[in-house]
Amino acid sequence: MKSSFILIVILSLLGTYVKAQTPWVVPDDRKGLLAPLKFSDETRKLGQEVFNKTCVSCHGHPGQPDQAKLVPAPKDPASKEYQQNLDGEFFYKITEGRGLMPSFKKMLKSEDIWNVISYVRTFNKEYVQKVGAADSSSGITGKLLSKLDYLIKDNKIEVKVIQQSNKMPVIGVKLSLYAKRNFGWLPLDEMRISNASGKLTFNYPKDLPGDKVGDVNIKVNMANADGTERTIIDTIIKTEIKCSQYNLLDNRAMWNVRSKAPIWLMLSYCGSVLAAWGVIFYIIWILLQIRNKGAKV
Amino acid sequence: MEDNKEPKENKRREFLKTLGIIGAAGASGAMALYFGQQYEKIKSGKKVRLLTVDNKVVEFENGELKEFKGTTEDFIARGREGIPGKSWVMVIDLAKCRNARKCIGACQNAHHLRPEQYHVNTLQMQDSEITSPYFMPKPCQHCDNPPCVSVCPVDATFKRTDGPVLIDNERCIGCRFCIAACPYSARIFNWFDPKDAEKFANDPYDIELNVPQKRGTVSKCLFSADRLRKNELPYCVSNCPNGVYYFGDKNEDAVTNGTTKETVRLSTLLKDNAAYRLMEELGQEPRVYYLPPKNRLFPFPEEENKKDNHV
Repeated sequence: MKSSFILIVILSLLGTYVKAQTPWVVPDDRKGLLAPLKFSDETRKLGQEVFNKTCVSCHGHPGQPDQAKLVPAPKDPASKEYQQNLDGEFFYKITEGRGLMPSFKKMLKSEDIWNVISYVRTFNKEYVQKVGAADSSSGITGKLLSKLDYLIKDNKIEVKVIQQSNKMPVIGVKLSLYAKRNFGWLPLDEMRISNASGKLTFNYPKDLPGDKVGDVNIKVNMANADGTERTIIDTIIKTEIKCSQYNLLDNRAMWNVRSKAPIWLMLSYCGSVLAAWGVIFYIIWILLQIRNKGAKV
Repeated sequence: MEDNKEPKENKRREFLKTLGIIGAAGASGAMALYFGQQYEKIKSGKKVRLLTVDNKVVEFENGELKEFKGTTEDFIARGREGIPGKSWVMVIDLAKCRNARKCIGACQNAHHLRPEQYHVNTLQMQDSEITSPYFMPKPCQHCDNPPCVSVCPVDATFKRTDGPVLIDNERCIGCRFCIAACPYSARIFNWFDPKDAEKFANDPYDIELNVPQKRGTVSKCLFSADRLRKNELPYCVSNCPNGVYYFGDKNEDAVTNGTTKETVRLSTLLKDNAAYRLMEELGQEPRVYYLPPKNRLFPFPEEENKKDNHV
C-alpha cells in the first residue's frame, strides 16, 4: 500500500517534469512561413522598440543574463537554442503563445512581429534571411464580397462570402465575430468555417448590451494563413438590449455641502431646529407669565 | 523771362520729386511704425490663439509658438463632469501579479509623485499562517458610496457620474478628514513640496491628473481620468507586463486586459473566477474587483523583492 502510494507520487512528479520539458511543436504548415518583407535597419530599429516594450520584462536584454526567473525559463534571444528557431516558428510562438508566454495575436500587428524577429536575428551572425511572397495571407485570392444578416429572433448572425469576380461562393474561409467595446474588440463566438454555399452562422449572445439605443458595432475577421486576421465586415446592427445607465450620484448619502443636500433634508433640519427653539421660547414665555401672576398676588 | 521759365519748371519737377520721395518714405515709415506697434503688442504679452491642421490650439506669445494646454478653470469645469454613459470598473487578477512594480512606476511618473508616495502599491498578503503569500496591487477602490466624499467639508473631493472619485487640490484645505475616513488607506498627504515643484510651478492645474501636486493637500489614485477622456487605458493598466489589470465600462459589460489587449465579458470573468471586492461588508460598493490568487503563475519569492516593498 505504502509502496504503491510512493509510486503514484513519483509518477505524478515525473508527469509534471515531462510536462515542463515538452518541446514546443510548431505545426508543419506554419513552420515554413517567411517574412513578406526584407529585413533592414529600419525594421530592426522598429523591432527593437517593440522588443523593449513588450519582451524585455521576461526575455531580458539579449546577451545579458537578466531573464525573469520563471519555470520554464524564458530564453535569452542571443542564445544558440533560441536562434535555432526558424522564422516561421518564431512567428507561430509569438502569435499563439503557450503557458507564461502570452499570445501577441491581439496585441501586435503582423508587421510588428516580423520587425521583432528581424531585430532578434541581429544576435545571430550566421543568419541569412529568406524572403517570402509579398502576400502571405489566406490563400484566397481576389476581392471578396460579403453579406451579413442579424436574425434577431434566433440570436444568430449569418454571413455569406462570395468572390467578386465570378460571384462563386467562397468555401472553407475561417471567420470570427467581434463586437466593439470601449478599449477593444470582444470575441463573440468561436471561429466558423464557411460551407459549400459560402455561408456560416454565428451565435450572437442574448444579453450583450448595446449603446443607449441598442446599436452594436460588430466586425467579422478572416483568418490568414499566418495566424493573423483581417477585417472583411465592419458594420452596426440594431439589437433590443439597451445599456442600462443610471446616475451614480442619485440616492447616495454624499450631502457634505449645502449645494448637494436635497430639499427634504434642508426643510426637515431647519424645521426641527425651529421647533426646538420654539419649545424653549414657549417654556420661557410660560415661566414669565407665572412670574407676572405671582407679582400681582 | 525765357531764362527764368526753365528753373521754375525745374523747381516744380524738383518739388514733385521730393513730394514723391517724402510720400513714399512717409508711407513706408507709417507702415513700419504700424507693424512695429503690432509686434510690440504681441511681444508685450498679447496672445493670439491658432488652430493647427491636426486640431490643436496653439498660442502665439512673445514671438514663439507653443501648445496651449488649457487653463486651470477649464480643467476644473471639465473634470467635475463625468464622461456621459460610462461606468468605469477595474479587475485585478492576483494570480498574475509578481511584483514587477511597473504600474507603480508609471503612476508615480504621471502624477509627479515622490518615490515614497503611492497612488497604487503592491502589498504582500498572507491571509493566514498556513496559506500561501501573494502580491496584491491596491489602488483607490473608487467606491460608489465613498465615505471620503461624505466627510469632505469643502467639497474638494467628489464622486463623478462615470465612477472615479477625484480631488480638486485648488479647494483642498488639507484637513485630512478623507484620509481618516478611507478604510482602504488609499489617500496620501503632500507633507513636502512635490517632486520637481519648480519645473511645473507655472503649469495649469489639471484636476483629472492632479498635477502639479501642491504641498499641504491630499492626493489619490484618479483611475487616470485624463487618459479615460482620451479613450486610453489608465497608466497602471497599460504598463503592467504580466496581464494583471483589466479595465473597462460596466455598462458595456466588457473589460480589456492592459497587457494582452484581450477584451472579455465582465460578468463572465467575475463569475468564472469567484471575484470579490475588498471589505464588501462596509457597504461602500467599491469599483475594483479582485480575482483570487488561485493557480498562481509565479511562485512567491522568499527573500527577493521583499525589501523593495513599503507596506
